[in-house]
Amino acid sequence: MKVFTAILRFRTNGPSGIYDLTDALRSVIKASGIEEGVTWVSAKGATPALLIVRDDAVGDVVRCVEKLFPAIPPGEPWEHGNAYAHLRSTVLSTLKAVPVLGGEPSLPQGYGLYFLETRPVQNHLRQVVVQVHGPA
Amino acid sequence: MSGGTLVKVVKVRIRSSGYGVEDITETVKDVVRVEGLREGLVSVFTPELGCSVTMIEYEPGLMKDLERVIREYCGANPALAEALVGKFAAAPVVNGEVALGTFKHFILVDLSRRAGVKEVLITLEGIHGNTEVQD
Repeated sequence: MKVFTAILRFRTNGPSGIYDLTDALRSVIKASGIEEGVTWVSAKGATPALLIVRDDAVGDVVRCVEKLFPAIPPGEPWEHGNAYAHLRSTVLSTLKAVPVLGGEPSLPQGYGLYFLETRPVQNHLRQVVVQVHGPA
Repeated sequence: MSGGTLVKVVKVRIRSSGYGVEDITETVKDVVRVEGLREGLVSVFTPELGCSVTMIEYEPGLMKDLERVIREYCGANPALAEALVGKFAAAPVVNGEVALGTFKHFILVDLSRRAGVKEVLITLEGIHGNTEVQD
């Protein structure tokens, strides 16, 4: 078994900033030399989320989680000030798996891997671990 | 990197009041350390009825907010909560460390209303040995 790890570092703005990681994912898989296996992609931190979604539906997903977990909920406020950011992160997940076939991420045409910044931040440093697993 | 492959499932037992949240992050980190996973994935799953595993900051106010969401969206049906919150969470291991960031923790959510010891399965897959990380 071979494991190849890369760490993506980039700066985000929010709330609801969206960052397309698809090209970076493809580059890491290429650098790994792994032709067939699986890529585990994990965002560090307790508030971001990763999405595998049709490119033209990213905004819909963001609006959906904003509606499910609003910054200001009806009735009582959240106990934890930015609970909405944590809940969006937890439900969408900070982890995604993408199979590797022929040295490429096996995402359908027109789909991408996206990072969602849920917090109202500016120029915030984020890290995403991309780990490719394959045969030795 | 390549080296000795490790694939192993470790069963751990978590004491629970039957309704609440247990922080299991240190247990997960201990298993990674003891088993010597250097580079790979650690995944956490619970087979227990009415229990879920997920990742979130472990803070009392936020746990109340999570309970509120589960009550509002799932009512008194633990099976719905199991599906919404999930039975599984995982994180990469890089240079022997579980890559979580500062605040993200593994938690066991127990809505079973049955106090006792709950089983959690921690699966390790990856490599023993020295690592090379592209940064």
